[in-house]
This record gives sequence, C-alpha cells and structure tokens, in this order.
Amino acid sequence: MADSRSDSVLPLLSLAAILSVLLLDYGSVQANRIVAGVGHSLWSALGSGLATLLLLSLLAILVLNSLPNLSLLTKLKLARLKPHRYSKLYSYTLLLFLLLQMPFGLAWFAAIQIPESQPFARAAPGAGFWLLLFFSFLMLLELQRSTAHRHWLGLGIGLSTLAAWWLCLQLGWLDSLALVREYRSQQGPFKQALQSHLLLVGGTLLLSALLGGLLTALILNFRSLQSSVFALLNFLQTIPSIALFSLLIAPLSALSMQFPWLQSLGIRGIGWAPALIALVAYSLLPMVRNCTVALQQVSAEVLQSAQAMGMNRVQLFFQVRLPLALPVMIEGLRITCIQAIGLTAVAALIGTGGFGNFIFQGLGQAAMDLILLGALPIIALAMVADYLFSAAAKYWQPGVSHD
Amino acid sequence: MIELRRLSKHFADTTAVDAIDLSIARGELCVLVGTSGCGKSTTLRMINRLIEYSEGTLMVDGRPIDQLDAVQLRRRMGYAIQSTGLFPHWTVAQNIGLVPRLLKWPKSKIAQRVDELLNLLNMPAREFADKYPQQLSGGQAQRVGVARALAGDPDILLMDEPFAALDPITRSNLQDELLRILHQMGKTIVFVTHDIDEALKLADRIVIMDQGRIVQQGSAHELLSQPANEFVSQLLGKADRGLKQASLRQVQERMQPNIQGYQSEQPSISAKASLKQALSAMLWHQQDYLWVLDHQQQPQGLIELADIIPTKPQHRRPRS
Amino acid sequence: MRGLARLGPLWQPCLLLALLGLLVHNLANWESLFRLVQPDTRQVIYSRDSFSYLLWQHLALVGLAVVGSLMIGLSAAILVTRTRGRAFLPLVNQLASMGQTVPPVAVLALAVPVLGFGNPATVVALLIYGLFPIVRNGIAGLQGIDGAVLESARGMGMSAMQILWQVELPLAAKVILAGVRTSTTFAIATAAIGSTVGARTLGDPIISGLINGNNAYVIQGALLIGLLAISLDALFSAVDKWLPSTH
Ligand SMILES: Nc1ncnc2c1ncn2[C@@H]1O[C@H](COP(=O)(O)OP(=O)(O)O)[C@@H](O)[C@H]1O
Ligand SMILES: [Mg+2]
Repeated sequence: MADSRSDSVLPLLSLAAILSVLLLDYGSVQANRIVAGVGHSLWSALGSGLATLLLLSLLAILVLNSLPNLSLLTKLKLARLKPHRYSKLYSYTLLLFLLLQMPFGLAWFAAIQIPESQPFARAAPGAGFWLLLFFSFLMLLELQRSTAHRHWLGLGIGLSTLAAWWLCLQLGWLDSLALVREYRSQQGPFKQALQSHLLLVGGTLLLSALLGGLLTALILNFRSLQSSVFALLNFLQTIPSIALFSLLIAPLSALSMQFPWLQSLGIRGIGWAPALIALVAYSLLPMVRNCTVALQQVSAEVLQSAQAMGMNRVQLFFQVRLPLALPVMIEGLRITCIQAIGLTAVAALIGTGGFGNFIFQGLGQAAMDLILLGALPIIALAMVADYLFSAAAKYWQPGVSHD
Repeated sequence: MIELRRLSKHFADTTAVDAIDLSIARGELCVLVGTSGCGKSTTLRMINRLIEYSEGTLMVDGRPIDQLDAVQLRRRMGYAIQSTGLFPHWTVAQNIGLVPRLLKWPKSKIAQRVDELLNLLNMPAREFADKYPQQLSGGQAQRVGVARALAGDPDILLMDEPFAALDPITRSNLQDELLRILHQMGKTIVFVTHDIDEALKLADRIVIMDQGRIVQQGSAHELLSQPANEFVSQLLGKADRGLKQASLRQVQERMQPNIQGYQSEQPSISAKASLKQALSAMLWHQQDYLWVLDHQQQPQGLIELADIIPTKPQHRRPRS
Repeated sequence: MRGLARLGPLWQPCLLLALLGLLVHNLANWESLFRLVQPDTRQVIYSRDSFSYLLWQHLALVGLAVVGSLMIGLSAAILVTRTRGRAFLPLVNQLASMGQTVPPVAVLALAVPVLGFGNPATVVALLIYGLFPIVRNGIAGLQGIDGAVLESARGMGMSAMQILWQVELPLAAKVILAGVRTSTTFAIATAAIGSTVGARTLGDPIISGLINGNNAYVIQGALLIGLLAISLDALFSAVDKWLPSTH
C-alpha cells in the first residue's frame, strides 16, 4: 500500500507538465527587441506532429507510473496491475526525449513562425516551455532517487542535453532566438562580464580562505575569542549587501583622495575595491564557521589514540585532523562561492562589471532578453559551483572508497 | 475485558504477529514476555490502534475496536512506553494533565488529579509539578510517564517496557509501587517486557511469545512447573528455575506453627520473605531450620529444609 | 511570570528600533553633517520620498513576502511530513536546497519578465526566495521531533490536529523561526535591490545616489537599511531566546 502511494509523484508531475504546455504559451515571437511578443500555443509553435509526440510522451509517463496506483481496480479484482517491469527504463527514455527535443523544437518553432520578411524578429521560449523544462527536471530527480548509479546517469543525461543545445547553436539553428541574438550583439561585453565575475569570485574565495584560515587558527588557539568573533561575523552577515557596498564607498574614496597612489592601483570609492572588501566580509562567516566546526568535531578519542601512537602535532594535524575535517571545510567553500557569485551580481551596482551589469542595464532599458542574459549565467555559475564543490566534498569524504 | 481472536499483523516483509488468541479479564495484570522482535510491542499497539491489525478480531468490552473511534478509544486507555515520550515543552503538571484536558475535565479537577497522582508516585507535587522533563532523573521521568498514563482514570493500562531503561534498584522500587497502586485501583493491565524476572514478579498471567506466536500462557507457577517446550524453559532460565519458583512463595505458606524451643539468638527469617531467601539463609548459617518472625519480630513458627523441599518417598535419593 | 522574565532580552531590539525611528525622522535635519560628505552638491538630503514612507514601504514588502513564504512554506513542510504527502518529501527537500543555490538577485531579475516592473514582482520574488529556507527548516524541525514523543501523543488519544498544533509545531518552533529569520534577512537585502525593478524601498536613495554620484544619498539609504536589518535580526534573536528550549 505504502509503496503504491509513493508512486503518485511522477504522475502528478507529468500531469502538471501536460497542463502547463496545454494551457500556457509555448513560445512567442517579437518583431524587434523592445516590443511585446505574440504568444504561440504548443500546436502553433511546434506544429501538430512534434506537439502530439511531446504530449504523447508525457501521457505515457503518466500512465506508466500510475498503473500501481489504480488500486481500486486491483481491489475489485478487475485487473491485477503491477508496475511494468521496464516502466523505469521507458520513463527515462521518454524524459531523455523530452529534454533532447527542446533545442530542436525551439529551432523548428523559429523556422516555422518567423517570416523571412522580418530579419529582426526574434523567437523566445514561453512559460509553457520553461515549465516543461522545470517539471521534466523534477521528474528526472524523482526517477533518479530510486536508481542505482544515479550520479553517472544524471551526468550522462545532463551532458547529452548540453550537447544537443551546443549542436543546435553551432549549426546556427537557434540564431533567431532572442537570447542568442542578444548574446551575439553583446559577445565582447559577455566575455568581459564572465571574466570579471570569475575574477571577483575567485579573489574572494582566495582571500577569504586565507583570512578565514587565520581566524580559525586564532579561534582554535584562543577559545575565549570564539563567541566574539562569531558575533562580529554574524553581524556583518546581517547587513544587506547593497548597504555594505555603499557604506564602503565614502571611506574608500576619501582614502584614495588622500593617497593618490592608491588610485593608480585601482582602489577608488567604486569599483572592485569596496566590492572585494564587502565580499570577503560576507564570506568569513561560512568559512570560519565551517572550518572551526570541522576541526573541533574531530573526536577527542581519535586525537588521543593518534597521540598515543606517537604522532607529533604537525603529523596529527595533517594526517588526522585535516583529512577528517576536509568535507565540512569544502562545504564552507561551497557556501562562500555560491554566495559570492550572487553578491558579485549586486556589486555591479557599484561598478564592478560582471553579469550583474546585464541585469541592471536590462532593467534600465526594460530589455527582458538582456536581463536574462545576465540572470541565466549567474544561475548557471551557481549551479556549477554547487555541483563541483559537492562532488569534491563527497570525494574527500574520509572512509569512503571510490571505484 | 480484551479479546484477541486469531489476530495477525503483517508488515511489508515480516509477519510480526501471527494469529494469536488471548483474552485478558477485567482487573488482570497480563504480561507479554519474549525476546526482542517477537511481536510484543506490535500486539500492544494493536490494542490501542496505534497499529491497525491485518487479520482476526480484537474486541474491547465486547465491541470490535474497529467500530470504535481510535482517538476516543485511546483516551480510555493509558499508555506508557520505555522512552517515556514526555512532551519536552510542557511541565510535569501539563504532561500529566494531558488526557484529562483532552477529556475536557474542569480545571480544578485536573489540578487536583495531578497532585493526587504525583503524591501517589512519591513525587511531592510542590517540588515537581512545575519542572520540565529534562530536569528529571530517569526514574522520575518514568514515574511521570506512568502518572500521565493513569491520569484520565482509564480502565485499561498498556505499558511497553516502562522500566527497561532504569537501574535495577530504581526498577525494583517502581515495580513495587506499581503493584501497590494497581492493587488499590483494580485496573486491567497489559504489560510488555523482555525481562522474565519482571514478568514473574508482576504478572497474574504471563504470556510467552516467540516469532509472533504465543508459546505458552499461564500463571508464574504453571509456567515454572510445566514449561511447554525447550524455548520456554530456556527463557525461564533453566538452571535457576527452582530458585525462581522458590522466590514466588512466601515462608508463611510452608512454616510449621510451632515455636517450642525458640531462642532469639538463633537464626530467624521474616514470615513474608520468600522461600528462596529462606534457602539462602539456611545455606549461610549452615543449619536446616529457621525461626519465623512476624513484622513485630514475634516468633510465629519454624521452617525446616524439609518444608521447602517436601520429599515424596519415591523421590528420595537412592542409597547405594 | 516565567514568560515575562524571559522577555528580558527584548531591550536590545527595542533600542535598535528606537534608534531607527529616530534616524528616519531626523535624518532630514542633519543637512550640515551630510554636506561634509558631499560639499559641492546642491541637495544632500534625499527628498523624492520621505524616509518614513520608504521605511514603511520596505517593511510592507518584506512583511508581505515573509508572511506569504511562511504560510506557503510551512504548509508545504507540514504536508510532506504527513503520511499522505510523504512521497513528496525527498523531492521537495531537494528542490528547496537547490533553490537556495540560486542567487536572490537572479530570482528578482527573473520576476520582471514574468510580472513586469514594480511592487508585485518584488514581493513575489522575495516570497519565492523566502520559501526555500522556510521549507527546509520546517521539514528539518518537524522531522527532528523525537519519535517517542509523537507515539505517546497518539497513544494518549490526541487527534492529528491536536498533535500538530500542540506538539509538533511548538517543538519545531525554534528551527522554523531560524528559517524565517534567514528569509527575512534575505528579503530585506533583496527588497533594497528591488528599487532597480521599480519598487519603492529604502534602496531608492542608494540607487539614486549611485546614479547621480551623490554619496550623501547613498549613506542615508545604507544606514537605514543596515539598521533595519540589524534591528529585525535582534528581534528574532530575542524571540528565539524567549521560546522555551526543548532539548
Ligand atoms: N512499522 C514496522 N514496519 C515494519 N516492520 C515492523 C514495524 N514494526 C515492527 N516491525 C517488525 O515486527 C517484528 C516485531 O516487532 P515488535 O513488535 O516491535 O517486537 P518486540 O516489541 O517484541 O521487540 C520485528 O521483526 C520488527 O522488525
Ligand atoms: Mg518492543
């Protein structure tokens, strides 16, 4: 009984996906960059063939996964329905199809709906498309929960989806997509934004790791400092980012007025200097908290027995304490990195560049595609960082073998 | 009166309780004993519908329990468990007053009931009523758990290893108290334990379970004198069986009302002591008789080794 | 009595809030002070809206969003921890933790194409972002309750609703509160950035100051936002101390 209920998630998700592609626009076409788009339903966007195929796949997932739920039939002995032996395999295949068709579908949509006479018209995915993507992703997560080798499988599906997009982009099939148009016209600034975003995040990570390490060492050696250091770091973390960035402007510009050589280093009231200071200030809390917790939680028994074996302090630290503490410390890095990626976007307000620039420019010009061009890479960066650091933490988990 | 007829419970891959028959009379203290995992707790929880049974019938006071409202049913049954499950955000008084509150008793009556129960369990209300559970010792918390189970004045009390986590002395004290209180109140009790000595001490009737089945049921004496199979005698502690049986009988049941020749300096024993204690004293003093005294230290009679081991002629040791 | 005694730590947020009130009402009178920062500018006090208007506006946005996140997020956490909704628990948990990796600015930015400029988009963005910590903490709090406590609550004959309101929610309160606190901190910071999507908040003076190169405006906005965030955080800290500890 309990088992059959747990299968209600996938049917519900596929139902939600069906409803959203049926009821919402799958895409829209704009005559140019600024005017509002004209919405297209699934049928008019993809043509009846692909639209039917897409709906049928969703329906198939719904039916495949609701068989064990039809317990009424089973109870009445009208039918003895069991989950099909291969229902999971089929569901995976259907989902892979749904994910892989997305770029091709969009290309097809642009091809059939943008008239030759309008070279500046651009196509954009609509709410139906985004929700389909979202629900497909959720279905994938749910399917993966009960699958062996799920990490490799997930990686495989993710990579093949990316490959499909890359292929369509390379072939130029997506050129009339609004976001691609926007990117093509901003190629230079985009590279620059990526560079400055990564530089600032990287610099923050490096500096806060150094400073955080120092603070952690201080706390571990002088326990009495612990509560006041954490009170201070907590306090810093509470201050809204935009306020901290702004409050640093006046003192820094005063400083650089006083000492012109600072200006030659690029240290001014606005720009990377106040941003970096604020970013490091925010990063210290997750960094120091995770490092101290990680190092303090290594059990006294383990340390004692290591000492009893005759390890000296340095050996003790590098061979016992650090390896045991590493995953939690990496988790600190993960939090810091994700937080820094988001805050760097805000720092664009004080002139640091980065993807935040596109967002705020786009907001200023009411150019939605430019906003997306800033927001989507930020989300992607955060996701990639999350994935990499989580994988690293898992890899360095002590006492777990990797094969 | 609780009646289980061919009652079973199947979990996904195990049969926890397998077609058991059991009827527990009003006012009886019935103890379910068995090794861990044999289905005792499951049986108990089916009685207050914390677990719904799979097959069979279960009747309380002649009515099948699936016709009763589960919530109402539970308010009529006290329930105490090993880990107490006291509500950490409520004071002792609030914890004990829970069921009366659910039953919508007037406030003054609840307060009175809480005081009464605390005093009954030797926990002065003034000292303990406003404490929080984390401020109590294990034994105190367990008392509060029992008090909470008794608070709504239920006819039936279900107890799942309530004393298992306590040290032997506290446990023994609580067992004595429980017996005293229960004899005062005449409740029907189903008590679960894995400790055979606890069962022998408390039970009117012992039900021995193994792998979801009832292996044997009866009074402590019946079990000790006629264990149904190897498992039961193993559980009863084969080698100690005689001593266990002796511990159930009091000296006054076997003594001779004969105080001729009484001398106060000679070894003696209380009339309420068990035969086991008498045997021990005889061994200690290397003497085959003891004087029996009442609680005012007055001589009541004499007990001899032969009274404890009444040898029938055919059981005499063969002489070579 | 015990409750009142525990209210002791309340003086700290009260003091901070009083300071905030003082600043909001008197900042406009301290022109000479701000002239020091910005000697060459004609106007050194932000005056497009009064500070008190902006403060209320900011608070209203944050309040609406956090109350919304709390209601929706807590309901979700409750639903997926019931037997009926248990199937959704892993997915919802995973979703909430993934949601927390999305930067709040991105959520705010994405709200605009969907909902347009202005207050509604800001509130919805804050609300959605605020859901994640509340859902996560809600689930953690409800699942962290000792199983024996729940078993005995059922065994005593409490109904499912009584268990939820009298046992589960009070025992999870501290953890849930921590989630609300995180949400509020994010909401205050993100609402300030909401100025760029057309909401009227305490971020206005900062954005306007940054655009016009007027540091005095920037400082006024930053001071008030910083103080607001710190006072509310102190308030949460006081409430947390006031809640009885359950371990
Ligand atoms: N909720 C449950 N789900 C699945 N199996 C259970 C559950 N509760 C108990 N069991 C199984 O039922 C059997 C009896 O358990 P229980 O009644 O708790 O034993 P006891 O109280 O005698 O130690 C055990 O094998 C146990 O694993
Ligand atoms: Mg048990």
